[in-house]
Amino acid sequence: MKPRLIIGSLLVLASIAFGVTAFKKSLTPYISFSEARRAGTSVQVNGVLADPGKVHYDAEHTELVFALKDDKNEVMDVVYKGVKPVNFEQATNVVAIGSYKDGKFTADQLLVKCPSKYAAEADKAAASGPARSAAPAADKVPAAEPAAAGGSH
Amino acid sequence: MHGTPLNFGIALTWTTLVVALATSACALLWGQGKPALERPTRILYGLQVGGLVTLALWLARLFMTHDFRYAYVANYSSKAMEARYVFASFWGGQEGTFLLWALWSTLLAALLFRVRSRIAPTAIFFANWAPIFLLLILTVSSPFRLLAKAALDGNGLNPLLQDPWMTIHPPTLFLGYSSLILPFALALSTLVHRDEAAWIKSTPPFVLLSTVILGTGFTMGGLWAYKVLGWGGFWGWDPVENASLVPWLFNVALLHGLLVQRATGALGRTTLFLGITSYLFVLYGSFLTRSGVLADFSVHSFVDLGLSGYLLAFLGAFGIVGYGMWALRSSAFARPNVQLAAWSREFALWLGMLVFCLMAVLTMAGTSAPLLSKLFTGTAGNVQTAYYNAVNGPLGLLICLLVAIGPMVRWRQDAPGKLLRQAAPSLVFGAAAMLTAYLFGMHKPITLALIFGAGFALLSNLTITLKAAQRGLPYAAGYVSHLGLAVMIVGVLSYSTFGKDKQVALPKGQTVEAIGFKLRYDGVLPQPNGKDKLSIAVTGEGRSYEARPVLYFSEFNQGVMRNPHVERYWSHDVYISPIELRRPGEGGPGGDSDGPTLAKGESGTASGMPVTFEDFEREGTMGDPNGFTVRARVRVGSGASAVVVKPGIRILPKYGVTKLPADLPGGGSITLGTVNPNAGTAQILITGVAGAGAAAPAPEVLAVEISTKPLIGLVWVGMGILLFGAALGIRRRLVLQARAQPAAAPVPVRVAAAP
Repeated sequence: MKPRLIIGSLLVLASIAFGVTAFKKSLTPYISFSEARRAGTSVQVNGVLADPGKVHYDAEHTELVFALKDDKNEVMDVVYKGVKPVNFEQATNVVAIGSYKDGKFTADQLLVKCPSKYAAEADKAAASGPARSAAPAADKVPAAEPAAAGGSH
Repeated sequence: MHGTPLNFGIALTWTTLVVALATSACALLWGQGKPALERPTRILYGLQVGGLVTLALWLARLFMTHDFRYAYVANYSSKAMEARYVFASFWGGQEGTFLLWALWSTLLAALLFRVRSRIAPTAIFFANWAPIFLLLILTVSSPFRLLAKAALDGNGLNPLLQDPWMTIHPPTLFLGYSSLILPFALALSTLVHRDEAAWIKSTPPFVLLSTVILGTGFTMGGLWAYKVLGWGGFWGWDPVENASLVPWLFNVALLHGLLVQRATGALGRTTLFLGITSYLFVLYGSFLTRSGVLADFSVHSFVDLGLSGYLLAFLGAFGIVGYGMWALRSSAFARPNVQLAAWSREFALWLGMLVFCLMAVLTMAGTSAPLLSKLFTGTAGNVQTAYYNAVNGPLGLLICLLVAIGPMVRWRQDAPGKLLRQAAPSLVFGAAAMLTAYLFGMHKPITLALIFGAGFALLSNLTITLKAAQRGLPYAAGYVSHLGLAVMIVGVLSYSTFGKDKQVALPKGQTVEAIGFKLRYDGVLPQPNGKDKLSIAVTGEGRSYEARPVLYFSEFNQGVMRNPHVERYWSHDVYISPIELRRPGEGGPGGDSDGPTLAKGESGTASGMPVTFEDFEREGTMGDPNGFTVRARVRVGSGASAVVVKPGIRILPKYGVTKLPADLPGGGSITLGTVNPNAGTAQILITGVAGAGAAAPAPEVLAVEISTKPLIGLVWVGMGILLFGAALGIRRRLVLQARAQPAAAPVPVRVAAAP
């Protein structure tokens, strides 16, 4: 047999086997919160912030505590040991990867989906006239911008 | 879209599309042995170039003149933006990107007119289908669509993208993507004409060109991510990054395959297959990252604008034609009698190609994980970056070993014993590198193996480079690239293994120590563009300096934007990235509502102190690109001890609102909460005062992450050397081609009419 065929097929088979194993291990599809509570292993959950006003972040210990709500309206407390993601309070969707233990979900990784600028711009472009931002201001400065716009001459 | 009046841009798009179709038709006939059509093809191609250049200039002009009658201009730029970013808004959205892509494809394919071979005209025919498809998309989704009513100002470009890199990185990356149409078109033309010699001779410079441009493109992306976006590393296995890496890997596999094919005549079918595949992966990656199918998983993802269907048709058509022709016609290129001996240069090259392809396939599989898992399990999931490191680590090790041994092995047949003696010094060097790394604290088996491989490759290629360069540097082109790769891998392993990092909270004015550095946060430095900087006094490693990372709230993104401070040393970087700033009165979401909301003339109590809101004072006018400030005149205290202070807010178009606190004489500060000039009210917040009933003052605290990146410079240096090597290769190929041509033969291609 040609050495090319032997070594080549061995390499391809080994890579596929290794790749599929790594893929399966790393692939953590979303499951519901009740399933996550039972699973015990590393899983991926997907939900919205139950209350954006009740996101607690301890900068000194870099610990983020919040509650997620899944599409079955089930709420689960999540603890994330790490830096609070950018515009976390505005997240339209939060994916947490981790495991459930001791009454809460401990996330190793967070993926935050924020309102898309493209979607926002499509909406804004549809409106005629001055293309001022119609989006609500951040919760830290509620109504400041639209209000100031109204007050100028 | 109905009712959109025909305008210059849209009309020219259609005209250019028709010209492009005519160009293709003429090129096809020219390639089919009708040399009379060469002139019409050239003229039409010139018109097509003219059309696309005019379209691009026209769109650029609309941006630079702020013509907000056009939806695309109004969506991606605004008057307040710097001119260079207004220009960069050209590729801020999909439509402009497609126009740029069509322009680049057309300009690059013009190089095919310089190919003196009978496969050139047919290659022009195939290459021209890229701009045709893109122009077709542009007729459906045009950047020249008018708004029903002109906007007074535009929405502006995402401030995250208002960065010098935005002016250069996307065009370079798209130039790289576009360039892969050249090997694709040459492969198809080769299949049509069954002309292997022409393929071997004409293709290498274009493949090298793609290697350089696409490589430069994603290296720029890496620098942007590291220096500005604060990812902490240069590569995040983000779908957009992967979409540029995968075609590049196939292209590099093709490059090595052409060497084998030229030397032995084998691998003809393989190289044609790779030439077709690399461009198909450009299209697939484009579809994946632009269609929104990955929207949940990528920081780059675009939301579906309905263009994904066209991209899919683009991919489908190119895939069916490309692979279909390969399946039907490539058998003529099979060389079943040519064996690649086990100990030969060609065998090492072939193994390297296989490893590149496996890396590409496994990386693309990870990037497509949401699609694949949806297909097989019904639920969409994603793989973590650990997957990419896990699969590419061992394959990277194989590449290192092959890069180390390959250049030493002779073509045809070599003796293992002799090879071992030749490789001995480099093997020893690799082992020494591994031992050193181990003693410095590198203990993971795969990283140690990789350091060994990189060290091995480093010395062996250095030796070979020096030897080959005696004949002239271009002769060492490939070895120089290998050297660069080894240097880069050493850098990657070093910074990811030996780097230290720590997250610390810095109360304003206090010195905090972390990983051997003394840090003191001194306050915010407001910037005219709203991208406020933070002043941090840093002492450590023999330097005292003021680090100025950036942290600001972006109205546009509805979020906090951060840029790191990178302090460069020759041996490493110190990387300081801000995490969060907590100001007095901004204890967190909903935490700043503790103050009275007062109308003009009203009095109340804030943190135990009597306050009277007298009136607003305005500076500037609303909409002023330089900002607009509203201050509240507030009297604090009562009787003779009362003081008047003016806290305010500053509003910058597109950058949001910044608070301007005012200090109180007795300590503490006063800020404005909600401001409503319509109702004439303002909320007054006082912090830092130990007044009766006041809560303990919350100091201003900045959270940062400080980390060291040992030898990260080697990543950039290595990549630079790799690309420089590839550029040398282009030069060498062009010199060889010029020599192969009969002297003074500027005569354009003439298809041999007779067999």
